[in-house]
Amino acid sequence: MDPALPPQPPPQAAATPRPPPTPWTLWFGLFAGHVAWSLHLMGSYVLVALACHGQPAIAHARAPLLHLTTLAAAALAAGAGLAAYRVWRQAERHLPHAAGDEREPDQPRAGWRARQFTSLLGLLLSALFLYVIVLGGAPTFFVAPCQ
Amino acid sequence: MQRPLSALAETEQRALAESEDPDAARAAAAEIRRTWHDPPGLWGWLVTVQNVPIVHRFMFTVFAFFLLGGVAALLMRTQLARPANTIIGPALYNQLFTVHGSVMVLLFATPMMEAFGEFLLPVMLGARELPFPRMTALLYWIYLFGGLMFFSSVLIGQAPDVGWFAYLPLSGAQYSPGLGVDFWLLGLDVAQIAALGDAFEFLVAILKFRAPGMTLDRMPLYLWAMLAMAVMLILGFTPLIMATLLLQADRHFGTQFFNPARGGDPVLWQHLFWIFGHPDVYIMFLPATGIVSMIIPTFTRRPIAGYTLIALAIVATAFLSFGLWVHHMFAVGIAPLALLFFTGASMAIAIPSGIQIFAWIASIWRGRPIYRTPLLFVIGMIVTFVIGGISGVMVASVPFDLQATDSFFLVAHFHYVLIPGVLFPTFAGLYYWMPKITGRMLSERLGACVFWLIFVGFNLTFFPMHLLGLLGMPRRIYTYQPDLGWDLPNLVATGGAYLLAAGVALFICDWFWNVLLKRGRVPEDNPWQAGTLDWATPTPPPDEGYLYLPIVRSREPLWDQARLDEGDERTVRIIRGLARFPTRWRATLVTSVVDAEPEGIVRLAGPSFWPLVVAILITVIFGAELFSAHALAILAMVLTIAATICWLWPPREERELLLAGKRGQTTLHGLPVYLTGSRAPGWWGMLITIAVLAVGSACLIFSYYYLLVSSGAWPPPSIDRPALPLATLAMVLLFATAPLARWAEVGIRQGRRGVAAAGLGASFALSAVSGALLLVDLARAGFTHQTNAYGSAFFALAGFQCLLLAGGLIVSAVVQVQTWLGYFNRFRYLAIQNAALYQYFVVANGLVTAAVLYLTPYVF
Repeated sequence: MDPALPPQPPPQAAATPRPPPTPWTLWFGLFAGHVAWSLHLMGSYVLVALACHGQPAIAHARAPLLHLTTLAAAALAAGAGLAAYRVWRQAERHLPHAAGDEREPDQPRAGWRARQFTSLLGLLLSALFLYVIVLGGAPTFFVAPCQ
Repeated sequence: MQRPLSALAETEQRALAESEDPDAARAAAAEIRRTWHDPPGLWGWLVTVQNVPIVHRFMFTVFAFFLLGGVAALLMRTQLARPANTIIGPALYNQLFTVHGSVMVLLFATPMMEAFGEFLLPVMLGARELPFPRMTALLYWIYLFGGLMFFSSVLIGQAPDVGWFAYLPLSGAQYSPGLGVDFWLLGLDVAQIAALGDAFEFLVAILKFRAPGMTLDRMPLYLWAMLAMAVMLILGFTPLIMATLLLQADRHFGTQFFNPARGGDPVLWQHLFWIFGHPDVYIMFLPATGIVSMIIPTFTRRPIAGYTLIALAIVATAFLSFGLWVHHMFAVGIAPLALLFFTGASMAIAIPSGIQIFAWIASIWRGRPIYRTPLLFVIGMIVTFVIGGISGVMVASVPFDLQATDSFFLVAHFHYVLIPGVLFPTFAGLYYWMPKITGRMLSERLGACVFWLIFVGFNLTFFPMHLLGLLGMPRRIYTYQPDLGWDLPNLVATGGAYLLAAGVALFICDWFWNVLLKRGRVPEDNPWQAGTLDWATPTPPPDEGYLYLPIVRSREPLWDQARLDEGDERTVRIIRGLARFPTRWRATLVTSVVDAEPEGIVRLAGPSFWPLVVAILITVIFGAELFSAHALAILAMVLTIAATICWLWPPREERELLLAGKRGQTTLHGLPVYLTGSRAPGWWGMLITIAVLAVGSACLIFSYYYLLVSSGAWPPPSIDRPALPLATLAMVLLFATAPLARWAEVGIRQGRRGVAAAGLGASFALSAVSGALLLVDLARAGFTHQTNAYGSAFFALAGFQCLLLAGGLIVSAVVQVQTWLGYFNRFRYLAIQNAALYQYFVVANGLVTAAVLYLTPYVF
């Protein structure tokens, strides 16, 4: 806290370009991990419910189906993480590494800073959801569904 | 002594000093302030749409309900103080725990967090008001009326007695024939609509009303928490409203959703309830963590540690919370493997909660803590909440849960989550923001006493309950026999409860003396020297909020920025321009979602009596249903629609396109004033409406498939598979309305009013025919909603689609009339755009519904 700071310098006419419009990969990176986990949870739940309520075709193939669901969901979450990582790298390239500098400049660097933040958020979220998907998929190896 | 000026007042003085014509600037400021003032007297009190006076009465009502819920708890603890006590009988005891749970969750904790949000969002965002001011007023009134309706059951001795989650079959018509459950369902439904409405306010405010420069990564963490809360309200409260409607239909309209004798399933209720119930824990908890993340930096004098990680934790918690609901149902008999999926998620949610806790500890560790009352409550929260979190991980494990379920261990666990997680931050927030909300400080000395009484009382009450649970004492018993080893812990718990109540009573004294009687110190504008914008305005905030909107360049602008009026030339010009014009209507700035760059100027509504009228009518609908007066309910519904149309009718300056001064001019200070598409708050409002309706539809589809799986034969052998021809024709016609709606929108964008009217008219006609065909098909189905669960699910889904169609017809009719009246042109066409958007949704929902209803029986 330092109330006596000098007024901000005028925005530098640096060579930093304005960030392009938010790419769809960023939205994908932010939300696809969550979608993957939701689909995995609901998919696995429904598969088990169907297998235990007399859908013989599903009951027969339930273990491979459950593993396949886990694999597909994990791949989607990993893809989301990768997409977010690429946006993050792009933002990093446009930002100087001034650690701890909270007094930030105006656009366009603030725009890149925001993008760096959101993509990092997407990357971390995807990693978390990948972990939760694996956590949810693990019991299918050890526990019989309809005891 | 000269009082230091607020950051906003400084900005204003500087702007006047630098102005070429200070007298004109002063005159404009005075006129803007007049525009923002409410009319005087009782009338002004009834028609106000300002967030500050509404929050005053909102918080007061919430607190009053909290006290009533607390009294219920004290009565229960008094009864349980000694074994074989006879103060309260079993029937009253059942009513007490039902009322206590329902009130604390639905009428206290969730609304209290909303009340904080309604106050804090405009000032913290740097906006002049919430995006839908009349809705703020409506939400308060319906919350009040819903709450009163709920409590009126106590007055007539018909209080609900089926537990706050009203499990079936106990809450069905057979076992609860009285009015108690109806009061519970209908009164709380009204209050839930209020909760849902706040989601609109918060979401649009945070996405579109941020001060210029407040990019996503500069948002205070409280705003992240409120953003998450808003999304969760939509996804969580809609299922609850749908569930209560289904239960009401079962009780009074003869549907069979929950009746196993006719193919229904009582466990469906548990699913729908807990899809709301579990996220609601986080709906209450996340805003509370937002409060904590605001208080810690202020009282440790440094920015919070791990901003990105806390934002991550908030978003992750919000998402994960929707995948935990089955852990409330471990003992129901669901397949064990399915339970383990939810165990995984239940344990994983401890990760984001842990991240927040560690970030807070790190912040306090590295800062210079100043132990004022708000920080005391925050530290008390961190210490005790961890206990509730850890016992939560314990009950996430199926074998442990099967032992602990329905015992006092559970009571201890969720009180250790909710009291430190929500009540402590509530008190912290009240001590912290009271000066800003009311203009008076609470007493620091009394505050410390309040904290210690509540902290010690809480732990004495609830820690012994862990022990009681492990000793085998079940929940919801009105008495117990001596010599079970339960006597001493129960006595301690009761003593603790009175200590806790003494703490709350002392807080009321503090408030009564210092705030209500105005004996407290008049604070400076930023008494705690905080860094965020909520402390930038004078105290309490003026009606117009920010005459000069702030320009943000940091997460803690009041710490890092010497001035709030410096930025790029365009933004400064806009901000200064907005302080000069418009003066006759309430205006604020709309900015872009990610980068918060100015995008437009939006007109906000002024005082209006329609919110009160609509709130009364909505209450009449539900009140009439309470006594099965269907005709009155339908009449009230028609009047509600009429009143809503009057409410939404554009005022003269809007419909004659005079907002920017003269006809033909559509921009002010270089920004558009007739906003459309993603710039317009109203467009976002429509998008959120669609999201709510889509979640509602998804709940019905979930119920349909759930009943399909649990019943086995679908449709039951006595019913034929649905016939396809009529439904196919209806869907083809419905599908054709989408391009017609699009045609209308494109037409008005090119300024061709005739095309717009023709497109809307054609879409209207086809929609009406499609709806009529669906109704004919339902009439010829050969079964009704009462026949069995299949019939109930079928009629519910098809009926929902018909309701959506009817809503679309009303919207379309109103917009057509306005088109003929010449209210739209190529700049002002948001209503047509919204009508088209809604029609696309009706088409999509219709196709999905038809596929579910008409194709599923051929597949399974």
